[in-house]
Amino acid sequence: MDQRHRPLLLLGALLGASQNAMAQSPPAGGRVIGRVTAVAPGDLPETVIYLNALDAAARFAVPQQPIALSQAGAQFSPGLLVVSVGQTVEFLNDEPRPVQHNVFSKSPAKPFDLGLYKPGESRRVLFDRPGPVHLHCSIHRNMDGVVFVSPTPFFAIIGADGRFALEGVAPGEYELKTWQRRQRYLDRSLRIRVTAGGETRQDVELTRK
Amino acid sequence: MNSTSPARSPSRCSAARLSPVSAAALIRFLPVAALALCGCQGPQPIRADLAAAAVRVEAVAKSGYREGASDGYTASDAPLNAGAFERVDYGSLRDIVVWVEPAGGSSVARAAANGEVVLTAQPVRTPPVVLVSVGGALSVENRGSLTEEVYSVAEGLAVNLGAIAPGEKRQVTLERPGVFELLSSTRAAPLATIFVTPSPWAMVSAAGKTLLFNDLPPGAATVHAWHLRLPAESAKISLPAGGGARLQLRVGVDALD
Repeated sequence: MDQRHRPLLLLGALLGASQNAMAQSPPAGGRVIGRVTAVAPGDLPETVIYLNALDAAARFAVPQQPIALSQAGAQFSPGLLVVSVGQTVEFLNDEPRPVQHNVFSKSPAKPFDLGLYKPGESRRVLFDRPGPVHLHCSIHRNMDGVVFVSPTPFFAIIGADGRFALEGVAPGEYELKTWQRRQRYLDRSLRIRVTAGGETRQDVELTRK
Repeated sequence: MNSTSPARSPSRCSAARLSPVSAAALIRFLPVAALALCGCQGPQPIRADLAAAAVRVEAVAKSGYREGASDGYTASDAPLNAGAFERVDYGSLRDIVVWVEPAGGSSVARAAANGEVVLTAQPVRTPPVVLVSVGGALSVENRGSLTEEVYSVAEGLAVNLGAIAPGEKRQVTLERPGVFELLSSTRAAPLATIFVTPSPWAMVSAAGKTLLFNDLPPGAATVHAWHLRLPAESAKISLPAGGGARLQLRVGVDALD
């Protein structure tokens, strides 16, 4: 790994691990916990749960530090990255060998083309609209990933057991929503209320009909 | 440039002369009798009340990319076109959908395009792109040994073919345009990517081919190309009655520009 990228990658890993750095910072925030279930156990890989504010005027602080996304080994890592609207992702070419990459997306939420760039270089993209942004490389045929852009900083990738916890959520009315990278079930949208210092429990059952 | 011709000139096989990297544009006149240029199989008459379009599809790498040279590969790096590093082969890119959409609808009737997916006991390594046009049928035949529940829950494009037993074949009519993954309850990977075109004048092509649509309604139309990963161009054309036009569409990341 290119040493220049290590601090950024570590920071990205930390942000990615919580998937919700800002949600932890407001002291008066509420907590949303629950479990996502489906007909077939273990059928929910790469499922995102996130909040959409019902108050269209609501604004949330967004981390200004770019989140690093690795391309070492001709693989996007993480393969699914969740960010909030207004966040920037830094696409690193951290290949140890002389391999160029050309990251692009044609997704409506953020079409872009970063052009060709070599190891040791990186390019940044500001994600300013919510929705999935599918990533590809024009050189490597199996190099695919996705950035899911959440409308708020309150999101998580559900665990293997389907459980999730959103911390430090600003009080208010929200839709609790799901998104699956491979859509095996209908996505759900459930209205919830979050209170300051309170805990809201909402389980989500995904079905095909 | 948008050129058309009612044309009476002799057949001429000139498709191979098209520039492989030119932007989407009509190339030049398309004589009626020259429509066979697509496959160089001899003249094909065009009805006086119809029009034709010959669409060449080219897949091109990012401008400025020179395989090997610009990457600085050395002999020891030779395996870097395998595994995760396998490169896109633009010369043989497959599963490019091309369709012609007449402006303001069409008075010419054409049967909807149907698509078929065949399930076998083998895993699906690369899900095929299956074309269906709006109003067409998607059929799924199970030639495997297990019953498979086949469905999609894509928004606005949900289908449910139910549990399909070995040896059974079921079908569903698709009423809305769009693209979705057809899934099976017993497989992690999709069975196929289904592309539903809004128009019945549609084909699936590989790069470097020229497609002939010879029963189009005369008038203005838009020709679209689509690929699952790569951006693709669209172009407007004008089709004269009894004649036709040629154009080239580019598939590749530069189409985003």
